[in-house]
Amino acid sequence: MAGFTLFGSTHQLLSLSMRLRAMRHEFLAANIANADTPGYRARDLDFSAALRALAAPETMPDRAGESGIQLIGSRPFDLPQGTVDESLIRIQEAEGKLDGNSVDVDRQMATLVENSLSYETSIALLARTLAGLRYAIGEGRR
Amino acid sequence: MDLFKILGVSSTGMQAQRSRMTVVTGNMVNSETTRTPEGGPYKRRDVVFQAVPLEDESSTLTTIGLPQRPSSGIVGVEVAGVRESAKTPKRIYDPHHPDADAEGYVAYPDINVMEEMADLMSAVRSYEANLAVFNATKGLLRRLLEFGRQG
Repeated sequence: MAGFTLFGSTHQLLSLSMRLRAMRHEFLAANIANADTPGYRARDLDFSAALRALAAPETMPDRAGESGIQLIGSRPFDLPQGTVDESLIRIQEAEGKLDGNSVDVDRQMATLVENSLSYETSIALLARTLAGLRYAIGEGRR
Repeated sequence: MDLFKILGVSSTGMQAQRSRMTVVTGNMVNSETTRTPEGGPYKRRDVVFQAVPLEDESSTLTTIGLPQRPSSGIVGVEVAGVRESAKTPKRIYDPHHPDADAEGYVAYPDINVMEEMADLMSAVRSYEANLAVFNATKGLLRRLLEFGRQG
């Protein structure tokens, strides 16, 4: 059986995903603010690579290797703070622009919208997970 | 990685673009100014943007003994300075003008109003882009608050 915990791996994965989405939002906002700064190169977070790298092994349990009760999720907020590895950041090189700036505002805007919607999706999924828990706590009564 | 900090990033962008609009407008209104306090015709001005790391609250964290948060390398933008153009003024023959020199030529600033107009439009678009990001961030924060209310 899966680990015995109130807030399981779904909860942790969703909160990590929200953190990374917020971080990516910050990168995109900085790119747009610097759209006219000479020599500025656009930076972006590789979300899927970051999620894969940062999701602790216990948040993605290996079903085959499980046995008995595991206390997973005992440190739900032990997630990376503030920074990610440089290897997860993609830097856009300037192509043919005289001032050396590589920000494409339209592309940044589109990515920002996509990222915002994914963030809201994570919130909605988290709300569902918690609603399920509340339903169970209330013994199935509405 | 704090949504409130992102509002700050977007506001540095809006501030910078507004300074640019002010400078460009100054160029447009002074495109035929022949006198300045420094003497001579008005000189075209240009803003220079520079990426700056946002000041972190980490200094306060260390003073109260909390571990310092590593900087995420997120940068805002600021106006590094206003540069005066080194272009030589246009000389136009007009002997009746009060600022005409001995040969009858008047020195006018070498400003192309069309160029300034294009620059102004570009500044306005960039301002709007930053405003759109600001509103998107606000939307996310509001969504998060609503989630807090349900949960």
